[in-house]
Amino acid sequence: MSNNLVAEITRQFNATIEHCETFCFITRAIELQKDAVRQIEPFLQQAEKAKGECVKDSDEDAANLIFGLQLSIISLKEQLNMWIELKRDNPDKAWDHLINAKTSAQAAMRAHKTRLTLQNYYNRLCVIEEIVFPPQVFASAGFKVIKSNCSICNKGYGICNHLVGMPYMGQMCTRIIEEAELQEASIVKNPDDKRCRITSFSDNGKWRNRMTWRLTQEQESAPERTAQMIVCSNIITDK
Amino acid sequence: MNKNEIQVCEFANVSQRAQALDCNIPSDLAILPRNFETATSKSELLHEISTPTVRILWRQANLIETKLESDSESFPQISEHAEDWIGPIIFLSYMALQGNPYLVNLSIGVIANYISDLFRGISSPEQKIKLDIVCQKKDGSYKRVKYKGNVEGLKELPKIVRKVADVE
Repeated sequence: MSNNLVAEITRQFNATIEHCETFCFITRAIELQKDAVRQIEPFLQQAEKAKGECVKDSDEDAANLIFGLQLSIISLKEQLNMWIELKRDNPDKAWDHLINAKTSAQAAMRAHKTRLTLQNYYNRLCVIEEIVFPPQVFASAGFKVIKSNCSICNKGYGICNHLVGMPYMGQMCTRIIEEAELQEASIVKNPDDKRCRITSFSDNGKWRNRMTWRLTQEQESAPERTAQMIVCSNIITDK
Repeated sequence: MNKNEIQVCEFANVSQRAQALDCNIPSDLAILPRNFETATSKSELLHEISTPTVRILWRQANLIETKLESDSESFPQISEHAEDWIGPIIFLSYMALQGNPYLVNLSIGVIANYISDLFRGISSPEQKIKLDIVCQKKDGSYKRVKYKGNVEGLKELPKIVRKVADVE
């Protein structure tokens, strides 16, 4: 049964990709890009249902393959959203979509070996990061982790045999942090999560946005604060 | 171009430090906390965030670790959210290196395979692996082999560790 399901989902995946990839360029019309994003949703729902059937059949390879297809489509959706937000003059949101697109493509390649075909796609996202966006200043938070659980079985991480960053029955293993203490925050060149960055800095009593270079707002009552940052990560990985 | 770095330096007497910190004395293969040499008490000891992952990999490969902490204890772990994969400090006694020539290959090999899967499809020259091996030498002294580089370079590490430890 899984074979038929995988064949059908792969067919739907190829059709969705073929359609949506056409709109992954800045010159494409925004309303067509928004429409492409909408067309992705039915595929994701179908894929989730099919993955559930594979899990019921205990067919881990098929479940991971469908999971890889889901992540590939999610990556494409994130890329489309990046172009849409750029046209809406929201580069901060566009950046997050780009990083989500890269993260999903990376995860897809780990989810199933057939998804290694995404390497060129991933490299293209890296080029977009370099030439479309200005250089960013990244931040990284250091935590002392006291207790963490495995996202697959909910046991204490390390007690079970699930490895962080690896796929199991169509799900990626992550560590859910139950108890942690913030140790420090630092500026780094290569963070684990590129959404964690300095978004603006103080400039003559106002805030200058690092993406748009606009002076956005009056500085608030904390003169010692010289930068604003977004710390996004809520899941700690091994890296 | 990726350049792998290997440094060899002195390391504290592991047995004496373990005893001073009221920990179990590791006899074969073990993971040492990152501040093992400098901590003033057991409560200060901190593992790298990758420690439980390495322990899973070793368990799956049927490698037995002689842990510093008892079964009821758990040292906190440090997560630094860097793009690099920071491994724990691996300890190998001279007895283990001499008695089981495959131990060093296997204990590092399973880590290398996992990292290859983790970074599958990504070729960022900035993405580094950091892994330190503390080995006991034939004369009873201890050396630390510090590795920083790509996953391919890890293959050379067992040979270097054996040479540093004077194991034939």
